[in-house]
Amino acid sequence: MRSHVLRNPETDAEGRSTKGKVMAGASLATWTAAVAAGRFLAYTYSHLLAGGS
Amino acid sequence: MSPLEIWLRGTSLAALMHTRWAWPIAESFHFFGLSLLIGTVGLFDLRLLGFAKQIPLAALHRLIPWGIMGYLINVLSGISFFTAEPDQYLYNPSFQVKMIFMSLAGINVVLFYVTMFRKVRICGSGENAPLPARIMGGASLAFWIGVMSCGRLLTFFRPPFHWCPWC
Repeated sequence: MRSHVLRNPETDAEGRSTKGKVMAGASLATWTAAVAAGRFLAYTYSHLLAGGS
Repeated sequence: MSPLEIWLRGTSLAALMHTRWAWPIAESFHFFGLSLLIGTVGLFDLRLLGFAKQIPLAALHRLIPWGIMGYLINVLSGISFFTAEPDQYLYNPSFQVKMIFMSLAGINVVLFYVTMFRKVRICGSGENAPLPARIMGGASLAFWIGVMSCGRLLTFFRPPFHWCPWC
Protein backbone atom coordinates (compact mmCIF):
# COMPACT_ATOMS: atom_id res chain seq x y z
CA MET A 1 0.00 0.00 0.00
CA ARG A 2 2.82 2.39 0.95
CA SER A 3 4.80 1.92 -2.24
CA HIS A 4 1.85 1.54 -4.63
CA VAL A 5 -0.41 4.26 -3.31
CA LEU A 6 0.99 6.49 -0.57
CA ARG A 7 4.46 7.08 -2.01
CA ASN A 8 3.30 7.32 -5.60
CA PRO A 9 3.08 11.03 -6.49
CA GLU A 10 0.96 10.17 -9.52
CA THR A 11 -1.79 8.47 -7.50
CA ASP A 12 -4.20 11.40 -7.67
CA ALA A 13 -3.59 12.02 -11.35
CA GLU A 14 -3.61 8.35 -12.41
CA GLY A 15 -6.51 7.29 -10.29
CA ARG A 16 -6.50 4.26 -8.04
CA SER A 17 -4.45 1.23 -9.03
CA THR A 18 -6.06 -2.21 -9.09
CA LYS A 19 -3.62 -3.43 -6.44
CA GLY A 20 -4.49 -0.49 -4.20
CA LYS A 21 -8.21 -1.17 -4.64
CA VAL A 22 -7.78 -4.86 -3.80
CA MET A 23 -5.84 -3.99 -0.64
CA ALA A 24 -8.44 -1.39 0.39
CA GLY A 25 -11.22 -3.93 -0.17
CA ALA A 26 -9.36 -6.53 1.88
CA SER A 27 -8.84 -4.01 4.66
CA LEU A 28 -12.55 -3.16 4.74
CA ALA A 29 -13.52 -6.84 4.70
CA THR A 30 -11.18 -7.80 7.54
CA TRP A 31 -12.26 -4.87 9.72
CA THR A 32 -15.92 -5.72 9.03
CA ALA A 33 -15.23 -9.30 10.09
CA ALA A 34 -13.41 -8.08 13.21
CA VAL A 35 -16.38 -5.89 14.21
CA ALA A 36 -18.87 -8.72 13.63
CA ALA A 37 -16.71 -11.23 15.52
CA GLY A 38 -16.40 -8.81 18.42
CA ARG A 39 -20.15 -8.34 18.54
CA PHE A 40 -20.81 -12.09 18.43
CA LEU A 41 -18.46 -12.77 21.37
CA ALA A 42 -21.22 -12.37 23.94
CA TYR A 43 -23.43 -14.89 22.12
CA THR A 44 -20.89 -17.57 21.23
CA TYR A 45 -18.44 -17.81 24.13
CA SER A 46 -20.31 -20.66 25.80
CA HIS A 47 -19.66 -22.86 22.74
CA LEU A 48 -15.95 -22.60 23.44
CA LEU A 49 -16.17 -23.58 27.12
CA ALA A 50 -15.77 -27.21 28.17
CA GLY A 51 -19.23 -28.45 29.06
CA GLY A 52 -20.84 -25.21 27.88
CA SER A 53 -24.16 -25.57 26.09
CA MET B 1 -46.61 -2.51 31.04
CA SER B 2 -47.89 0.37 28.88
CA PRO B 3 -50.16 -0.22 25.85
CA LEU B 4 -47.29 0.89 23.58
CA GLU B 5 -44.99 -1.78 25.03
CA ILE B 6 -47.67 -4.46 24.69
CA TRP B 7 -48.29 -3.50 21.06
CA LEU B 8 -44.58 -3.37 20.18
CA ARG B 9 -43.94 -6.78 21.74
CA GLY B 10 -46.73 -8.26 19.64
CA THR B 11 -45.32 -7.16 16.29
CA SER B 12 -43.70 -9.58 13.85
CA LEU B 13 -40.48 -7.53 14.06
CA ALA B 14 -40.31 -8.27 17.80
CA ALA B 15 -40.87 -11.96 17.09
CA LEU B 16 -38.10 -11.91 14.49
CA MET B 17 -35.73 -10.18 16.91
CA HIS B 18 -36.33 -12.94 19.47
CA THR B 19 -35.03 -15.64 17.13
CA ARG B 20 -31.60 -17.01 18.03
CA TRP B 21 -29.27 -14.92 15.86
CA ALA B 22 -31.33 -11.84 14.98
CA TRP B 23 -30.15 -9.77 17.95
CA PRO B 24 -26.39 -10.28 17.44
CA ILE B 25 -26.77 -9.76 13.67
CA ALA B 26 -28.66 -6.50 14.29
CA GLU B 27 -25.98 -5.49 16.83
CA SER B 28 -23.30 -6.09 14.22
CA PHE B 29 -25.17 -3.93 11.73
CA HIS B 30 -25.55 -1.27 14.42
CA PHE B 31 -21.76 -1.22 14.78
CA PHE B 32 -21.19 -1.15 11.00
CA GLY B 33 -23.53 1.82 10.80
CA LEU B 34 -21.75 3.52 13.66
CA SER B 35 -18.38 2.95 11.97
CA LEU B 36 -19.67 4.38 8.68
CA LEU B 37 -21.16 7.39 10.43
CA ILE B 38 -18.22 8.35 12.61
CA GLY B 39 -15.69 7.37 9.92
CA THR B 40 -17.16 9.88 7.48
CA VAL B 41 -18.99 12.56 9.48
CA GLY B 42 -16.30 12.45 12.17
CA LEU B 43 -13.58 12.86 9.56
CA PHE B 44 -15.44 15.82 8.04
CA ASP B 45 -15.83 17.34 11.51
CA LEU B 46 -12.10 16.98 12.18
CA ARG B 47 -11.36 18.74 8.88
CA LEU B 48 -13.75 21.54 9.87
CA LEU B 49 -11.79 21.87 13.11
CA GLY B 50 -8.60 22.36 11.10
CA PHE B 51 -7.02 18.90 10.96
CA ALA B 52 -5.63 17.58 7.65
CA LYS B 53 -6.04 20.95 5.98
CA GLN B 54 -4.43 19.71 2.77
CA ILE B 55 -7.67 17.83 2.01
CA PRO B 56 -10.32 20.10 0.42
CA LEU B 57 -13.59 20.08 2.39
CA ALA B 58 -15.58 19.38 -0.77
CA ALA B 59 -13.57 16.18 -1.31
CA LEU B 60 -14.34 14.94 2.20
CA HIS B 61 -17.97 15.93 1.81
CA ARG B 62 -18.29 13.38 -0.98
CA LEU B 63 -18.05 10.69 1.73
CA ILE B 64 -21.07 12.02 3.63
CA PRO B 65 -23.61 9.83 1.75
CA TRP B 66 -21.84 6.83 3.33
CA GLY B 67 -22.39 8.42 6.72
CA ILE B 68 -26.08 8.92 5.92
CA MET B 69 -26.27 5.25 4.94
CA GLY B 70 -24.67 4.34 8.28
CA TYR B 71 -27.18 6.51 10.10
CA LEU B 72 -30.10 4.81 8.33
CA ILE B 73 -28.68 1.37 9.17
CA ASN B 74 -28.50 2.45 12.80
CA VAL B 75 -32.02 3.85 12.84
CA LEU B 76 -33.40 0.58 11.43
CA SER B 77 -31.38 -1.66 13.76
CA GLY B 78 -32.16 0.65 16.70
CA ILE B 79 -35.90 0.46 15.97
CA SER B 80 -35.56 -3.33 15.91
CA PHE B 81 -33.99 -3.39 19.40
CA PHE B 82 -36.55 -0.98 20.76
CA THR B 83 -39.48 -2.94 19.30
CA ALA B 84 -38.27 -6.26 20.72
CA GLU B 85 -37.51 -5.04 24.26
CA PRO B 86 -39.15 -1.62 24.76
CA ASP B 87 -38.91 -1.70 28.58
CA GLN B 88 -35.12 -2.05 28.30
CA TYR B 89 -34.97 1.36 26.64
CA LEU B 90 -38.02 3.45 27.55
CA TYR B 91 -37.13 3.75 31.24
CA ASN B 92 -33.38 3.72 30.75
CA PRO B 93 -31.73 7.10 31.55
CA SER B 94 -28.84 6.30 29.22
CA PHE B 95 -31.27 5.81 26.32
CA GLN B 96 -33.08 9.04 27.17
CA VAL B 97 -29.81 11.00 27.19
CA LYS B 98 -28.78 9.26 23.96
CA MET B 99 -31.97 10.51 22.29
CA ILE B 100 -31.22 14.04 23.54
CA PHE B 101 -27.72 13.86 22.02
CA MET B 102 -29.17 12.54 18.74
CA SER B 103 -31.65 15.42 18.63
CA LEU B 104 -28.88 17.94 19.28
CA ALA B 105 -26.76 16.36 16.53
CA GLY B 106 -29.74 16.59 14.17
CA ILE B 107 -30.36 20.27 14.97
CA ASN B 108 -26.63 20.93 14.49
CA VAL B 109 -26.70 19.28 11.04
CA VAL B 110 -29.71 21.35 9.95
CA LEU B 111 -28.08 24.57 11.22
CA PHE B 112 -24.84 23.69 9.41
CA TYR B 113 -26.50 23.09 6.06
CA VAL B 114 -28.76 26.14 6.35
CA THR B 115 -26.13 28.63 7.47
CA MET B 116 -22.63 27.38 6.71
CA PHE B 117 -22.53 24.79 3.96
CA ARG B 118 -22.23 27.24 1.03
CA LYS B 119 -19.26 28.96 2.66
CA VAL B 120 -17.60 25.70 3.62
CA ARG B 121 -18.00 24.08 0.20
CA ILE B 122 -15.67 26.60 -1.41
CA CYS B 123 -12.90 26.06 1.18
CA GLY B 124 -10.00 24.65 -0.75
CA SER B 125 -6.87 22.84 0.24
CA GLY B 126 -5.02 24.54 3.12
CA GLU B 127 -7.90 26.88 4.01
CA ASN B 128 -9.60 27.09 7.39
CA ALA B 129 -13.37 26.76 7.64
CA PRO B 130 -15.20 29.84 9.04
CA LEU B 131 -15.32 29.98 12.84
CA PRO B 132 -19.06 29.14 13.17
CA ALA B 133 -18.50 26.07 10.98
CA ARG B 134 -15.57 25.01 13.17
CA ILE B 135 -17.75 25.36 16.26
CA MET B 136 -20.46 23.27 14.59
CA GLY B 137 -17.86 20.64 13.66
CA GLY B 138 -16.67 20.45 17.26
CA ALA B 139 -20.26 20.29 18.52
CA SER B 140 -21.06 17.52 16.04
CA LEU B 141 -18.10 15.44 17.24
CA ALA B 142 -19.08 16.00 20.87
CA PHE B 143 -22.73 15.04 20.22
CA TRP B 144 -21.82 11.85 18.35
CA ILE B 145 -19.34 10.86 21.05
CA GLY B 146 -22.18 11.44 23.53
CA VAL B 147 -24.50 9.23 21.45
CA MET B 148 -21.90 6.44 21.35
CA SER B 149 -21.08 6.69 25.05
CA CYS B 150 -24.74 6.57 26.07
CA GLY B 151 -25.27 3.62 23.72
CA ARG B 152 -22.46 1.77 25.46
CA LEU B 153 -23.82 2.63 28.91
CA LEU B 154 -27.35 1.39 28.08
CA THR B 155 -26.65 -2.05 29.42
CA PHE B 156 -25.79 -0.74 32.90
CA PHE B 157 -29.21 0.87 33.35
CA ARG B 158 -31.48 -1.94 32.21
CA PRO B 159 -34.43 -3.09 34.37
CA PRO B 160 -34.90 -3.33 37.32
CA PHE B 161 -33.40 0.16 36.95
CA HIS B 162 -36.40 2.38 36.19
CA TRP B 163 -36.22 6.04 35.26
CA CYS B 164 -39.51 7.56 34.19
CA PRO B 165 -39.88 11.32 34.71
CA TRP B 166 -43.16 11.30 32.75
CA CYS B 167 -44.84 8.39 34.60
